[in-house]
Amino acid sequence: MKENILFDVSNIEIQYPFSNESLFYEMNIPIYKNDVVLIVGDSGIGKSTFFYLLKGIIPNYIKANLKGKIIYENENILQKYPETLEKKIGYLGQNPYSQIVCANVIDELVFGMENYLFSRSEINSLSVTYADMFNLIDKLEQKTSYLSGGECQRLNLASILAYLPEIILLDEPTSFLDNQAIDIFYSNIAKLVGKKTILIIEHNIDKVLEFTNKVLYLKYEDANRKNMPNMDILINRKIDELFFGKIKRVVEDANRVDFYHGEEKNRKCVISTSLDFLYKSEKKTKDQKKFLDFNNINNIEINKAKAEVYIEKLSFKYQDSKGPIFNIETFTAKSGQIIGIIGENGSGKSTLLGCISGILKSKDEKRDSIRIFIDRKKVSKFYRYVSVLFQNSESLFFFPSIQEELLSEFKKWKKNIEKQKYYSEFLLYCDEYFFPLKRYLKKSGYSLSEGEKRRLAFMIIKLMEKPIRLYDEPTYAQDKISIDLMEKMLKEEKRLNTLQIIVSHDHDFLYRLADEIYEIKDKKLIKR
Amino acid sequence: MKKKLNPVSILILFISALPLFLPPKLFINIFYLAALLLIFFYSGLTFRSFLIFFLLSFFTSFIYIITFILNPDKKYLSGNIISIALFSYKNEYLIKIKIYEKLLNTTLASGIRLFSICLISFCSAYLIDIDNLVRFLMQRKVVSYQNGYAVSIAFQSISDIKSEYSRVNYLMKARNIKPFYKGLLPLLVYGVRYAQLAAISLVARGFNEERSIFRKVEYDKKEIIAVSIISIIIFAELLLGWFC
Repeated sequence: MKENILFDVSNIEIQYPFSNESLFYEMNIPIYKNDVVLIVGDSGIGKSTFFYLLKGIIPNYIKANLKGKIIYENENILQKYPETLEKKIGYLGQNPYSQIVCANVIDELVFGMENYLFSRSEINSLSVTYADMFNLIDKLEQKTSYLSGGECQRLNLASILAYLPEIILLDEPTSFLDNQAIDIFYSNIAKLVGKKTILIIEHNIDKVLEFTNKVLYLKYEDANRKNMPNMDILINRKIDELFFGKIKRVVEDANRVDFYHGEEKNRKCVISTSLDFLYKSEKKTKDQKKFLDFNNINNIEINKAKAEVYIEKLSFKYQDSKGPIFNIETFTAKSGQIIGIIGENGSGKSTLLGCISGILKSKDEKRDSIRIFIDRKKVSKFYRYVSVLFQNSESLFFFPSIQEELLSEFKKWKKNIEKQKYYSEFLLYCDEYFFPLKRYLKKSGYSLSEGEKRRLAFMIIKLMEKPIRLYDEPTYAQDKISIDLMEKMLKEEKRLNTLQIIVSHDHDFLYRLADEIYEIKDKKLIKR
Repeated sequence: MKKKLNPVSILILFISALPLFLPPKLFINIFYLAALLLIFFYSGLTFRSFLIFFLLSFFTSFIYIITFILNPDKKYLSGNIISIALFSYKNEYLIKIKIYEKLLNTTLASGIRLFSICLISFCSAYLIDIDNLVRFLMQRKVVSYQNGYAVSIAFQSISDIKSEYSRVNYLMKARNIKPFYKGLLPLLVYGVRYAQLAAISLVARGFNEERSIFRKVEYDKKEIIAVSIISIIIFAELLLGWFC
């Protein structure tokens, strides 16, 4: 059996240059040839980093100090990464947009095959097969810049599977896919079981477990089993081979701890003192725990403005595209509602959010086809009343540290003690359950993992306190616990009279939450 | 926009327009420009885009002419003087200008040349498909694959950065973040991350200099005809003593 071991992973430590923090993976897991390994754990725990190590991106392209072992063919790949292995591994990263390197869909699809010197006839037949598998046949001549997030992800998957790598690393491969595409994708992956070694990072684990033979669960060393995401599913399924990896974050120099507390005297920023509460309250009171049970916020005036959105005869056409992406006859949404928008990849969901926010304006668009009323007064500057969580959360970060990021919003309530109290409690709650604020306060928002960025952006959107909020795939890269908390917070906003429009492929999430669900189908917006 | 001509041909057309940069011969200049524009229209130039480029070029050359006339070189200030009168009202002219004939001729000729250069440059830039051009050069080993893909990705990133800019700009206003330069940070990070992830994506799919070619960028008959027409014109120019 031992000769079949592909990777033997044991206790890895990573430290990036200029960082005083190192990440220690305390784990021992043998990965055999043709294993299908599911990797789960909190978002931000270091799952993607583990893939970077296997693919050799760290340390070949991202420099870091490494200790520990990943043995491949009797060699430790952390010391010297073998070229032969690089060619054997196909890697799909998290962000679907930035993995596109060619201007045309067909060129992107065949890119890997060209690199591995496939013959023209092979490329021809494989490209047709994989384009057909991922429903890309009619888009082959299209420019990649016009693809939606889901279409980009399908193209990335097709491109990687097409050159037939022996080992496939998939980092959240279905996060932007619609349900139908997810089913097709996993049915195709299931066909490869027994022929390829596959490692998958996935938060939505139900579909993967059907063909997985090994699970690697990464958890923080002090994690409580009850609060570990997906643990209940794993226990119910009685997984044969469940490996645990303990993650420790070790800080070298105590004086350089990223904690905000204790460094205040050296800073001249007056407003910054307002985040002191994060360190003063060590034990949570019952009231704070009930923050999201809506018991302690009845007297706060938040979003009392009555917002209404009207859409009438809206059509949007991208430059150079053949026809309009959608034609919407009418759509109405009012304060206190949660509206869910679903649809296939590329149907125009994100474009619709862009239109409502006022960022996208089509030349064909009828004047005033989107009207927003605040307290029955028509408004023109939408940005004053609409906040948007885009697919790329980083668009929302403007400051070098998370502390400044939050304070720029928090300072608005300098003179409003009630709101200060409310949002302090909100941040305390987030720190406890949703986002480790105290640990990350001095860090940059850009250095977080995809899931953490999304949660930070979600918190900033809340602090912006706009009466209309648009969310584009809020549950992307989130574990089950974070999704539950997001759901609670969105319900809380509903109670506070906020109008929320959510685009998501997570239909269960929307059906639990939304008052009305619309589907973009055949270029029309249809109420479900 | 459907491009009928190969971008490489358009580049050749642009390069062949270099005689326009040389001392002017007005009649041939206009004929040559007209022939080029015809080919550009055939290549997919829309009337609307042409109009925009025309106005931009006109404006540029107009500013040039005015500047040249107001700050002339001393060597042009000799010979005959011409009077120009504009806008008459009750037998009185509102604008009267006196200008040396030599200065006027030189300025107009240079202005027209500048106009031609601008117009051809705009049209060429609009019609050249950078990705196809780079692919063509890479396939013929003129440019290495490494440099070629770097250029191609950089050009692709322009449209992505443009849309990221509109999102950042919107959120800046929504979050009331001032001054404007704070918006540069997310754009800078976006650019760097774009480059890093694209590089990882290249490496992750086994990018190397030895690769097979699936879609070869080739010429077709129409392009050969277009390039031949231009070659004939250049040959005619040579016969007429253009380069003498």
